[in-house]
Amino acid sequence: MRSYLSILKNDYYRTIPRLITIIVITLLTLVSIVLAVYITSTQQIKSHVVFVTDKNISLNSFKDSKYLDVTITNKKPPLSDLIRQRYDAYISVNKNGVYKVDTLYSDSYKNTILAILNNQKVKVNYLNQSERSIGVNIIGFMMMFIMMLTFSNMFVFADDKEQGQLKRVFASPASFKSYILAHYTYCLSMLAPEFILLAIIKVLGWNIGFSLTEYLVLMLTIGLVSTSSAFLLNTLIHKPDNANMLGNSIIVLTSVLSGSFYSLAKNNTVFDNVIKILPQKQLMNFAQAIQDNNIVSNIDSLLYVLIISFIMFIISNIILKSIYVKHA
Amino acid sequence: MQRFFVILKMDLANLFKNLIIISYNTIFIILLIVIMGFLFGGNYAHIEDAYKYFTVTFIIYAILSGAMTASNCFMERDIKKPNLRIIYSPAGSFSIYFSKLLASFIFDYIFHTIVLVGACLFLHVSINNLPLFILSMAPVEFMSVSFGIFFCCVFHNEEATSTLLSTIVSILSALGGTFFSLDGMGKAMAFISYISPVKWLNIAFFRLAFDNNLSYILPTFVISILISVALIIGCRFTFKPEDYL
Repeated sequence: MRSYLSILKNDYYRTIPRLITIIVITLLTLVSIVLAVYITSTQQIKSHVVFVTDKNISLNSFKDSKYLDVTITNKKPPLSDLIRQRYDAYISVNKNGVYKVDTLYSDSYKNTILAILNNQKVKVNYLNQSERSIGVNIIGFMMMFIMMLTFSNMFVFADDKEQGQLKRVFASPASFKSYILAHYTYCLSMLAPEFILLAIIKVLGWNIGFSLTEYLVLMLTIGLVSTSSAFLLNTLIHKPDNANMLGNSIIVLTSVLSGSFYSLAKNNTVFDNVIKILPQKQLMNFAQAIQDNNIVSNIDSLLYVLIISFIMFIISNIILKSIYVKHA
Repeated sequence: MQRFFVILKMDLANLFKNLIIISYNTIFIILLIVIMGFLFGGNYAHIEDAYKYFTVTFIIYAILSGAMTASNCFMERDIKKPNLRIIYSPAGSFSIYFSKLLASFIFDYIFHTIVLVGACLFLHVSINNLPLFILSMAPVEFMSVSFGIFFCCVFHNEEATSTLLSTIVSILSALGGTFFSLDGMGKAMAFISYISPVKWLNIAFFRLAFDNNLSYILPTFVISILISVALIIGCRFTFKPEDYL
């Protein structure tokens, strides 16, 4: 217990030179929260189309359409605006009054636009619609940044290992368990600024979706899985900066894949099943379950993430022992 | 000058021996392009159009992440000791950070060009005027590398620098539409998106790649070079050899 406290205290002392970084990252997390709230509160997502015409025709019929956001120009906008999704389609009309739709999207989208133009009542499937609540979006947006932050906070362990302190820990009477537990506590506690930020936002009266307890559970789980993966990667790779780089790229890739920014509806069963392996995907599922008030039947998602973290923890422990404890 | 090249050669050799930095600049980016293109391809009539979007945005993401290559190359612990010796040698301190800067630039530029050409060949991404596109990458690449070196000079710590930079790059990229376009998400979102410089970089490169329109890329060229020069001058004032002691 004594070594646990002194290691924990030491970890905080080692944070002081990095204070600026932590403040900046906390501010950036705030940006991502605001972004998430904004994206969710943008209620109706319309298709952006450009009507290309020389004449001064009135477009009142679909100027105030529920589905289309129409811009009228007499010059066709560049192709790159379609590719970078500034606009979704360009519409022109020929002499016979037949509409022509230029889009990069699939034919079903084209037909929907044509149907709207011909004043038919159609149900529109949006391309960019997300059906997620504020809470799910906030967690999704924060996830990648929290994971990167926690991963880098494991520098306390990585530095010890690289500079040879770890050898001394193993040789000393201080228990390795309390040593690593202190680092875990440190990494998880460094999520406090983000959590306090959420609490402040909530107190100020913004809607953040979930309750603070739910956020605490989710954030701690995210923290746990990234601390464990940092532990494992730093055990396997000698240089901390390389481990950090690899960790960062894995975090970006897996977060994007599990649809943390964006719900990806790809009806591809093989792919969906592969994605389920990722802890982030399971966490997103769990967040979705909280939104749907369906926690009990989805508790296995949370358990899965905890078990994954535990397995990574055990593996790193075994590897470390095999490196540092020499049996005579 | 010859002394400088000796250091530069060592720095380059160091980078090319580091498998993780190489894969960070190649495999990671390729995976992002392929996976995201595949995921969003379903919306498009031709999947190549999805690849077009993500090739351009992720190449820019890769270029900006080049700052991490630089900070890694500059502040890695194994390199700190040799750096300390160079300070005492007649080569001078300028060649320490400038050779790191140049080495990371050459290294990143080579790999990003390979990724880009690979995407054009294998994913059928058709870019008008590919040589000009590759040429325009250079000043941006140089700027991001200078950012990496400058932040190292200010913070004296590799991990702090790369954490900070990778978070900033990721946030600005997310805002600028690297992972998904924010333009379709209402007026407020579109406006926020334009705050991010990554957005402007994206526009410039999209215009160049698909419309042959140079009106955005020329200012990008000039601004990147100006920022790089300012940062290198900044390094001159903030780089303190004592930090290595």
